[in-house]
Amino acid sequence: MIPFGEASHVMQGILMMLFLVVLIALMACTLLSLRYKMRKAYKAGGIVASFLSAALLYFLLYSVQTPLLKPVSWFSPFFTNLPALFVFFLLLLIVLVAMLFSFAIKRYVGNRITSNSVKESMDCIPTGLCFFTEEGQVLLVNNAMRHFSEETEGHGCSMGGSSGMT
Amino acid sequence: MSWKKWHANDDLSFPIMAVMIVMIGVLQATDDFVADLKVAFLFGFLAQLVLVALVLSWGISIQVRIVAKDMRYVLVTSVAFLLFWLVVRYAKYAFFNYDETIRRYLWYAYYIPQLVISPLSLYIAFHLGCVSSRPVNRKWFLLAIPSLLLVVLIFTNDFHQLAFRFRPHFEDWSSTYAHGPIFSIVMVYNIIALLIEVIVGYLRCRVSSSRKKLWIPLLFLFLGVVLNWYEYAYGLDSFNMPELFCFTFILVIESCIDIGFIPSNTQYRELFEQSDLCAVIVDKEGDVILSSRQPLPFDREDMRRAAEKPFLVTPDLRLTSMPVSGGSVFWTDDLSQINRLNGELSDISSQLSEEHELITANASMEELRASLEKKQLLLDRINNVTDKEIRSIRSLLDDGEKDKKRNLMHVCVLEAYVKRRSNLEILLDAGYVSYGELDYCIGESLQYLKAYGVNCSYKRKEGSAGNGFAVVKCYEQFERIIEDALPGLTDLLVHVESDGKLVFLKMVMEHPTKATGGEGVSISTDEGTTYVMAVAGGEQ
Repeated sequence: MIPFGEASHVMQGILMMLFLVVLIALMACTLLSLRYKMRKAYKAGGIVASFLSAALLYFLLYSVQTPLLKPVSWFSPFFTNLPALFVFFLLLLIVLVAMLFSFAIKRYVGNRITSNSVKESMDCIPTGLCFFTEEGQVLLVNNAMRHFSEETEGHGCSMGGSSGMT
Repeated sequence: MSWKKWHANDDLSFPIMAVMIVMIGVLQATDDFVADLKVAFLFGFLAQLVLVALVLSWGISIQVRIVAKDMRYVLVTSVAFLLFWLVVRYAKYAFFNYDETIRRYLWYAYYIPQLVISPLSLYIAFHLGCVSSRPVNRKWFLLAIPSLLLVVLIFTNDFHQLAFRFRPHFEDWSSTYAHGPIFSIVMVYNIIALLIEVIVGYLRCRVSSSRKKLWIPLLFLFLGVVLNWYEYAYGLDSFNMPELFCFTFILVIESCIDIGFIPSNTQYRELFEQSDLCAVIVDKEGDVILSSRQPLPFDREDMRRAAEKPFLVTPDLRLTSMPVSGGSVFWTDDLSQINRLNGELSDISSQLSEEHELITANASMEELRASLEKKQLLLDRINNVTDKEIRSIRSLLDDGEKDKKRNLMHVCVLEAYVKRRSNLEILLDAGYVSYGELDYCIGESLQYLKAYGVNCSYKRKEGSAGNGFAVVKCYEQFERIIEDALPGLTDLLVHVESDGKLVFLKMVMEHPTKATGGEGVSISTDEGTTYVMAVAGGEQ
């Protein structure tokens, strides 16, 4: 098996670029789990997985650049001697974790009331609603009010315009 | 579970963003001064991760906060291209150190996000202040054509070198290149887009209630342009152009959201809670997550029923439910006004029905009155035409016991005329008197003349009369001649014929008391026998 350090530079670059992309996906999932206040297991799992992936990428990246960076660090031989196929499988493993994580988030968000659920609720209600500030800045218009405004004035409520206050 | 536990903080606040930006700057500025290469490398790597985390956090925040779907898609797409720029940039410097061609093409790839974000920013500028979401107009996709064309020209630069001119064999390409006309076109394209964004954004927002805060995004935009120019001209230790572009974009959009030019849902919870609606939002387990100022006074059983279909809790109150993302919304509709209006409509309907019946009855009465008046007129006409005979009948009846029997026979003759003449008047009124009707009239009169003692004979020649009036006049002439001839008349021969227009009455009488002619009547006498010839016809 070809060690990662002896693989072609293009292959190394592509693998590490894929690592970075997957790491970004993992970070996105972790940030989502934090934002949506998911269970601690998800949050902790996301942080740990992101941290390990970032660390792995850092070590791989640093190790393959060792020939240019003297002296050689203590961990470089270990990571450069890892089989390239093993690194590829590690990448696949992280992809799998990111996918499972994203499915869990999607399911969690699907069962959760969000601000957009409030907007959807307002849109369901047949009563026309238009909220605006004292300065006339429209904050929220529901579908019934928008239809009413379009029927009566030819256009929907817009911010600051005369229609916004009507 | 309460709303507050679900949503502690939905937006990425300015202080957190500022801390992350400072952290990136510090990491990038200090990595050149750290002696340990591992640590220096780590600083650069961490700076990239923090930058990616910043852009990701902001993108997630946009995804959560922006309500208008079109604006949300455009902003999230912009975030994706910002990330693409960061990945490509890092890949160029960190992953492909040994291959100059790949590095150069990665460098070319910088222009993809630049050329995509420009039209996306134009879309954002043209839709500032729009509260409602709408589907993206397909005409906007036309802006992709120049962007795509410029990207292709940039990526084929190795063949034509019209964007960037390099030394032969791309020697030391990254530091010794010159800009070509295509690069100038790209710059002009971006600058024009930026100017249009500023002008359109200003025009759209100058009518806005938030125009007093317009300086905030304009200030961020100005600072971003200045810093980008400075970095391009003189270079910065802490930030490079991609970071500065990301910061400028994020700060301008975030300030637009903050001052209300781009509507966000950050206040929706409070708006729902403050509304006068009678509504609640429940999660999929049926737990109430959010309630309006007037909470629903119903239990779970009512909600379960309403989830199947709207039902009337009271005659004036309907509970309705609709599914929303993550749960359902329940609200009540106050039907009292509708019911009141329905009641009023029902009353009006019954009133109209009664009025309709009255109008119908009035019409019937009018019809009946008209019919009675018509009948009265008919009776008056009958009285007029039989007045003489009725007076004769009274006179004969008043004569007392003298010739009582003969008088009665005479009365019968007159009575037959009164009856038949009345019939003819009725038939005239109905519009149909046939020629054959004379058979009944003259026949009945002759029947009573026979009883009176007159020998009678009658014959009518078949044919048709011109109209009913000829028939009536003929009978009137017959009666007048008979009444004159009585009481001396002993024998009578009657012959009637018609030429289709006039009716001819021929009578032969023996011993008539009197026989007088008149209009249309000629009399002749020969040896005690009287010959009468009468002609009847014409209009009434």
